[in-house]
Amino acid sequence: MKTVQLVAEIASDGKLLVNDDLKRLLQLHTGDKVELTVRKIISKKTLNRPENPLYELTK
Amino acid sequence: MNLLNSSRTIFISDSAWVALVDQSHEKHQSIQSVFSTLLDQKSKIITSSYVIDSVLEILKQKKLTNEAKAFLDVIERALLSNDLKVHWLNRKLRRKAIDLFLSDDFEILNRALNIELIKQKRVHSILTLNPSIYEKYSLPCYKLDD
Repeated sequence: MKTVQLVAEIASDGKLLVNDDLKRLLQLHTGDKVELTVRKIISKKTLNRPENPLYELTK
Repeated sequence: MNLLNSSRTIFISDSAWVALVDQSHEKHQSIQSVFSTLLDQKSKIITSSYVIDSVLEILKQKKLTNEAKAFLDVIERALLSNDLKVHWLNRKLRRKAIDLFLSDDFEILNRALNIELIKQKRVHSILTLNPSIYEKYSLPCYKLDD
């Protein structure tokens, strides 16, 4: 089994927002129901934090 | 000894920075891999102002001026985003390092400065291509795969 880390966001109306990349990766279609397990809650501040510039030295 | 644990303070030496920046360096890929893992594991990356200066000098000597400029740009942005801590020398630490430099068989003062700084900052491990210098003082270094 392959484990991947995915991030989804709760919208202001309480709905779970799933981006197009995630839909494609999970092969989801409108109306599909999925069972999710929350491993970690990430603050919006952390989520929107730009990538560590030091990563540029690894590319 | 696996030193790649999360939340550890890792000191990056001049030799490691140079190998990271210089794409023709024989250890470039292996050090990139280790550094990437350290970043993924949210290790606290630290270095010093004189190490950065030394890296710039070495890169310029290697005619890698553009790479030196790009490196400095990354360092400055990492400082601003708090992804890197650069320590400056104080008079007391510098004096201790000079005493160490003069009392042992060091050829380069920067290495003695590194040792005193690393001892003071309680660094968990050192990313360097010259581990024997630090291991002599019982300071743990990350070993690169050959």
